[in-house]
Amino acid sequence: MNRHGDDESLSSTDINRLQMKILAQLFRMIPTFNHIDDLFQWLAYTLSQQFNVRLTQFWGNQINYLGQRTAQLRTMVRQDTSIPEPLAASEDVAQFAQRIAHEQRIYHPQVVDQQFSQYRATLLRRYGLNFFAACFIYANLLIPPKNRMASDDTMTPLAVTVLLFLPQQPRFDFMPSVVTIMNQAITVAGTRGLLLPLARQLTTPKFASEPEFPSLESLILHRKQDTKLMLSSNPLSNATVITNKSARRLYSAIDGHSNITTLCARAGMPISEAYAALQILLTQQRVEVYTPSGMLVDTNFLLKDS
Amino acid sequence: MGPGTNFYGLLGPNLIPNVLAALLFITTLLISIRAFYLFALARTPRLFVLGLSMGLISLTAADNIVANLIKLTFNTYWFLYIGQIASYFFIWLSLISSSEYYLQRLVRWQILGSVLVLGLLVLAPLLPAFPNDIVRASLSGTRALMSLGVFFCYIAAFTEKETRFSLLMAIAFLLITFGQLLGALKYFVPNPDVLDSPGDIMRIIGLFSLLAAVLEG
Repeated sequence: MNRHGDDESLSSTDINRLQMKILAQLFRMIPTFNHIDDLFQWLAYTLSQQFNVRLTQFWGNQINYLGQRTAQLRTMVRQDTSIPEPLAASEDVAQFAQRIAHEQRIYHPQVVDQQFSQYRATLLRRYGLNFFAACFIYANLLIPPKNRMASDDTMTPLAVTVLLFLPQQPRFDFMPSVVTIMNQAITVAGTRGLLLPLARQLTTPKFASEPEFPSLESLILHRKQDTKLMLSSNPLSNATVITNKSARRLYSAIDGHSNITTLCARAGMPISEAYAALQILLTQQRVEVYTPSGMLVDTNFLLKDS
Repeated sequence: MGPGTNFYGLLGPNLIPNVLAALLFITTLLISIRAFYLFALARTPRLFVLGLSMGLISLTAADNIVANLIKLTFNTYWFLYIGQIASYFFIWLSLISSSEYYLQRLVRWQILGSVLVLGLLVLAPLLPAFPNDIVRASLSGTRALMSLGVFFCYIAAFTEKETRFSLLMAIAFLLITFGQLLGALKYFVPNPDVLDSPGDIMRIIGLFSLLAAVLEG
């Protein structure tokens, strides 16, 4: 595991494959669902299983007979049943879900400390809920109330906050996959009558923060230490040496903060030479590559031309 | 020792200590030079720590050779013991963590520590003699403690992944540890030679194991 705790087992291809697999299963399962919450339950369980999401929550907005809008937990799946429900469905988690519904944005995977209080974050971390991601799905379809027998809650336009808690930081294309799955599920649910139609078209918020893959020049390099050097492997052998001169210059220039453009200027080499040097360093597993937002980059992408 | 001179000579009662000091000097100097050369090519902080530590130990060994050959009027053993304590200590610290940030900070601290230790050599004429054998034994024993820490790191590495390098290094530091320990305990026995010579021999064998590790491991 790298220093950011990323799940290195899922590549971009794996995520695409999982997305297709889940959608295929969705189309097979949809005739068995009688209520939208059956679909939500299945989706939450599937996301939890396939993407190693430790806690999956779907929060809906419900309007009661007083006309008050409240966040309502429609579905929750705990991969680890020891996670206490009062923690998972606490007031501040509910408030955060409501805030996401208000902001109508996507929260890409980040550490829980960034959005929750220190106390809450500590509690979450205790159960391995180190990272979270969220998205807001809405459509001009009516969603029936959670309590199928309740008459006090009125049907409301679909507005669901998906809140995911993970033990490890997933890849940067994780949330776009989740959103795609959710959108497809909503479309199918509308077709199957699980959601009541309105006249207007199905819409979802634009991915205001959908990441485009950053340019090569903006990537940030970190040196990767050989943990076994001087312990299991002889540090004085020639294997320690970076034989390629350009790779050595680039490696020397790395400070863990500068992007490739800055490193090229510091090392006095053009970007093409830096790219070739980077491929050597990646092949020798001497560096890691991060986006400006701090997410680890799958280096297979950078090595695909070699 | 010639009459009226301060020259002890290479042979005689100091033969084994001289062999030990010479072997320690050559071994650590070679390792230091190689480590610094590779550091220039690989920029790995651990190599710098190794190079500086071994360089400092080689300097203490050189000092020991000089002290064994001629009678010095001042006490350089403060530098010898504390220099080796610091060197083994920094090697031990460099094996604990592989974090780039941690190792970079360790390098800075080691440079500062080495400067201070070298100050002990420069100021040797001003430093007092050891007040008693307990102080001397404590310093000698402390370096054994540092070597023991390094030994445990290599044993842990060997249990995780059995390599010839980690085995030879573990053997080396185990022998060096016991050799230094015997060298510390000699001050508490009526006949110090009973412990001194075996201790030195153990350290010599340990140095051979160290050489084998870096050459063949």
